[in-house]
Amino acid sequence: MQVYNPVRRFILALPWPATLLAGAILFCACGSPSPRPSGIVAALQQMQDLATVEYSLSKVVKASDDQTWYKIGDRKILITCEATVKAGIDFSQIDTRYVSISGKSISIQLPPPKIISISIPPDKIEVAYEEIGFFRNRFSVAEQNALLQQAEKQITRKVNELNILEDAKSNTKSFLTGYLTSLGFEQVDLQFDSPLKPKTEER
Amino acid sequence: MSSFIKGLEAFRKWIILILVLAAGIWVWNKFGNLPSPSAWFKPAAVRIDETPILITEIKSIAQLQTAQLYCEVVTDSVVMSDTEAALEALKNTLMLPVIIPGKLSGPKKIVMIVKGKVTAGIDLRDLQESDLKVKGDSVWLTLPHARILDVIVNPSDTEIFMEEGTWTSAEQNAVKQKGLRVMQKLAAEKQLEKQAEEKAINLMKNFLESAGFGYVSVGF
Repeated sequence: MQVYNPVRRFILALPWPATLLAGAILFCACGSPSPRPSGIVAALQQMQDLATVEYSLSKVVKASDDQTWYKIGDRKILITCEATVKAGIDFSQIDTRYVSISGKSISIQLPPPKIISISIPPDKIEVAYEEIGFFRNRFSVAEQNALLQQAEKQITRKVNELNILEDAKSNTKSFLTGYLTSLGFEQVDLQFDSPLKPKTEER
Repeated sequence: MSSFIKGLEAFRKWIILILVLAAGIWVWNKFGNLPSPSAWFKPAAVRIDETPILITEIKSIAQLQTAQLYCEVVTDSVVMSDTEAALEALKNTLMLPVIIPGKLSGPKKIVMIVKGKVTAGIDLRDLQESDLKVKGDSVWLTLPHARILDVIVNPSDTEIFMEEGTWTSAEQNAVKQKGLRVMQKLAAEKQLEKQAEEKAINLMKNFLESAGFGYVSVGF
């Protein structure tokens, strides 16, 4: 004789497949773990540059998103950013082939100045103004970054129009003159303009 | 009955017209004279205006940059919304196992791939007069220790892999700073400053030998 068990009957009466499915969905929805990325790639490289001038620059990035025909309303953004540009020379190119010494006089043909680095620090980037139409979304981080990439290209393109390479030349001359004087040279002749060609040592 | 036949003929004309149009578009498209329909709904690229670059400062420096570490790090952040934070606080206060559905309360997430350069070298402005001794054709040079001179992460080095929610400039910067700290830590692990010092010794030795010195001693 079977005894009536209300608990057993309730358990057996449950729609198990549906219950399990609902439980799985609830578990996934509640516990959605955030990604924990940790990839790191690194490569070491030697340098040999003598940076002699640093320019601090500022730029306003101005953009209007009003060219897409099917989007209703416009978006406008103003981002301010600062950049640091360093210029100098390749120090490894100063060797005996380009140096001539005569008693207390030294003459060096220096390598041409170059841009060593351009940096736009993330902490110097700021959205100054944003105007978003009612039907439009705000500029995403990726969109802002794309605008800043264009600004970086503009800075890279225009950096040579600044006087930075001339300043690098005069600062390099000034630094090396002081340094060579402290090494005991009384007459120091540093040249940039002539193309690098090996000299004969006279000492 | 005749009106039905007329309607049928009109319908046939429309069908022929549509077929001719479709064939025309197909031929035009085939020969590349018409942008594909998907291109019609491609959003136009947002171009920035040409704005002037202002020089705010010019500085004389003397940095001998001798070692660089290229890094690529993945950095992320998850920020809880106010609702989620309030529910979390409630959960902690009441000590109840309250389950907060992530999608409903909407935490914002971002994952960036940040490529950067850590540069180390010697700041030759720190050289003192006493660091240089010359006697005849011998020279003794004591260099200042190498240090990290720059950590460069530019917009072109940054890729936004995933983003959800709105991120202010300060919040974006905080995520990038996290990546920069990883790079600096990595530079320390790889002994970048030590490598920079070794290279600086070689460069200064070569320079002093080129300047005609027979005996050169460079150290720290």
